[in-house]
Amino acid sequence: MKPVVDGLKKKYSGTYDIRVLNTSTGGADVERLASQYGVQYVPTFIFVDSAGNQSGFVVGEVPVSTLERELSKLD
Amino acid sequence: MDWRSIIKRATLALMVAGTLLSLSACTGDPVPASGNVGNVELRDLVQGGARLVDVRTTAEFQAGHISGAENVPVDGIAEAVAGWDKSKPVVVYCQTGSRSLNAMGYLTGQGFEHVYNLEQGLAAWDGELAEGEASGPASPASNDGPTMYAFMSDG
Repeated sequence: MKPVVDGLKKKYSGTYDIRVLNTSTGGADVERLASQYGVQYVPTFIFVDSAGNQSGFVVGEVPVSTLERELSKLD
Repeated sequence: MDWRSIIKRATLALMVAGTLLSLSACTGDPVPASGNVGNVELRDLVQGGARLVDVRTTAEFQAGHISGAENVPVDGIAEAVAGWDKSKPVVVYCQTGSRSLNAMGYLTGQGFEHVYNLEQGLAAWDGELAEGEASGPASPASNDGPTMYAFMSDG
């Protein structure tokens, strides 16, 4: 999935903030965020709009179209 | 009433007052509505859901920061906080407490209701430090615009 996510970062640079959080090496910061969003499996994708409201929660290796559909809901 | 009774009553009143004062010292002062705080109060505030903000430069932040902090360099604070919830407590810190004091003054002037400054800064922090880039704000609320968090692992 990493190449897929990296591709999204490039494509949507300036439009959406796409952050890759490594649960293996990210440390306490990532753990805390994962806990707050209820992340139990990886990969998991959380979509948050400008107002801070969570609008999407996707688990697993999904097609890029699924991620793009969730991103479009953030507009 | 004679003078002996007056002295006895006064002595008793002083003893009671002294006891009450020492009791309040034992239980500790409550965290103020805004203002300077120490390490203990910072931990309490963050545990209670306060937003923790490191106002140093990006390079300083990446070299070591309090876990859970988000990095908003002080010269960019006006733009960054534009959409923040002003009723939510914010704790700011820097290396020695001076840049963050300015940040606290700015936030307070903008109407933020509960703003706290780590008085002696990171220089007096007694906990561990996290390194590297910010992983995002500790609170789910994000004012950086629409965001996708991709939780992934090496394995």
